Amino acid sequence: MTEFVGLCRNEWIKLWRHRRVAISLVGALALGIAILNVLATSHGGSWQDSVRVEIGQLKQLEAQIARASSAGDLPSLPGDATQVFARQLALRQYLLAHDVAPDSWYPLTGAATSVFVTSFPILLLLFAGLSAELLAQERNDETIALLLARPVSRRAILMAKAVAVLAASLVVVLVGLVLTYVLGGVLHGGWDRFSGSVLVIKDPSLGPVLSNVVLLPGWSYALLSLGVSLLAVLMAVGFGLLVSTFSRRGGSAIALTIGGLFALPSMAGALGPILHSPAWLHWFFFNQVMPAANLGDRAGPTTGLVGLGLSVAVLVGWALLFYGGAILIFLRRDEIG
Amino acid sequence: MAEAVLTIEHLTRRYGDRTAIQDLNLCVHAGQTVGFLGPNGAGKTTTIRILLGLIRPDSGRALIAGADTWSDHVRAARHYGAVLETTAFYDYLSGRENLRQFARAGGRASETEIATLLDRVDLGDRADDRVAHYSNGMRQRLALAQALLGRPGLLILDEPLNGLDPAGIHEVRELIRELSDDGMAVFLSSHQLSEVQSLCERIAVIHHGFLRIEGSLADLTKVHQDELAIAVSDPARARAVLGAMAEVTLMDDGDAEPLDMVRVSTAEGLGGEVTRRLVTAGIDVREMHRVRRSLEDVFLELTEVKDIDEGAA
Repeated sequence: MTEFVGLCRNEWIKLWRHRRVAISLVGALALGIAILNVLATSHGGSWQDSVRVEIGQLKQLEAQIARASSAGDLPSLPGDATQVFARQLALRQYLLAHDVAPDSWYPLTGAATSVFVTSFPILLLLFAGLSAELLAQERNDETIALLLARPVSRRAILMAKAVAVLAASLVVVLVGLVLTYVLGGVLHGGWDRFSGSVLVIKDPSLGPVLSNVVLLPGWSYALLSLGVSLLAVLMAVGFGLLVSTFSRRGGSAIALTIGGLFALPSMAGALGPILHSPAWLHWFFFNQVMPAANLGDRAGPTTGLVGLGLSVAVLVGWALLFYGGAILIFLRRDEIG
Repeated sequence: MAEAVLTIEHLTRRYGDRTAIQDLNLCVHAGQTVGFLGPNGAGKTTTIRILLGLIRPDSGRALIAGADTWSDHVRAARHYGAVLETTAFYDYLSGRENLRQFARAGGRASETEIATLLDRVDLGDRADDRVAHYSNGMRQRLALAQALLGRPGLLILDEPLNGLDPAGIHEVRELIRELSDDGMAVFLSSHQLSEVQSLCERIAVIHHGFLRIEGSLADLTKVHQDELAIAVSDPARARAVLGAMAEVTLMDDGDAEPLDMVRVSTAEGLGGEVTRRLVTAGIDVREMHRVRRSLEDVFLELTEVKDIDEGAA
């Protein structure tokens, strides 16, 4: 165990000394986006007034679309879009009726949404890219032979590399979370609102009815967002490591990994409507890279706790597959130094 | 005899259709210094990669302190330190930080030991500079310090003198000699035959994946002690005289030797008869000595002659 801790320390030192500029710059970019989101959602007055305004806007929009559709100026909206529109309206009415503030109202939940939803794709690409480089760069620099010649197992080396990136990701997201929370607190006139609860839908198909909602305290909402987001990081790091096990160049490993994480969701997004959103499409990792988006009072066809459960199952499954594959390849691979 | 620290048994490795090493057998005992020689592509690097657990043999096995270098790599690696042909380090870290990295990776070296090792390879005053600023010689010395972490029983050295200037070569040679005197076994692969000859007591020559010869340096060079080099006043006539003797074989055609030298091979004890014939023929004999073949001669004979034979076949 002591040796494994030593290995993790080694990897952490190498990661930071070699890639501190990239980590700092991309981390700062993600933080900047999160801060912009906090600024964009900052509000004065009471949340009830804000929600009433939103309800009014939604109703107005709904009426305009209905008029345009009946006049033949607009094609009628597809079923999914109509349902999402109706759920948005119903959710806001529910919040108002049950005196539950929207999740963006509280500094902590707003910060969690900003970091784990708005700026999370950038962070995910950063961590996946870093992990993709880990072994490939050792090969590129020809240090891998010296490392593997030491009395330490390949499995331990691989796991230590993963732990180092996961630790770095935890530091970056926690720094982002604290800074956006403090900023949100300043903007909203106080950052001690841990006790405020936010609404989370269980099954999105049933809509906001009493038996289908859960009220989560702000701190548990933030912790849950952190947990499921780290699971996504775990999966992305596993994907990067898998690519790294067979790559000889750090640059190509990063390109392949980021390309996979960036291009595949877009492809899935394009294929979804063509294939009429088949259920099997949801079981791919690239459709579940932002699990925290399932939480909160946003409404979508796969949001809510059901969607979160699906995301967690998919991410765990793919993470196991990626790490298992990476270990299997790395343990058997000839390293020619 | 001391216990075997390295045992190679029937080791075979192929890359596709090409056989890199074939049925290699070798043993290094505690305290021995063994030179591992072979031309480029002979199979030396493949053998060393197997010893370090970097690649897996197709058949056979290599044991270090009784542990298989592939299937029981961690245990085997606790008993050796290695200097690789490419002295790659983490360039963005200092020499000391690099040693800390490798010490934590399975070793147990303390800060004191790291400082001592850096001083021993004469890097003490540059220990905190980034390795990116090191010369080849400094990298080579750092590689040696890295190999000595945890004081292993076997040192595997792949071209440890590459990139060193004459003074550096002298220092490293002396260091290897000291380690060997302290009881550390050394397995040294090198192209610098004179260095191998000066450091190693045993030699193994590999060629086209096969072990051509293995034995003590004294035995390998003794084989050719029936050669005579004779300095004469008239080399052409001396060749004619000696060529007529049934017991004598001329070893040269005169082109490759100094102007007054003739090299012949005779049965032992015929030096007197050779001198008498030359003197009788009116040829002055200025000097005569037995030729002790260098390791280079043995190496070239084992590798080049084979190449010519195989080329002709």
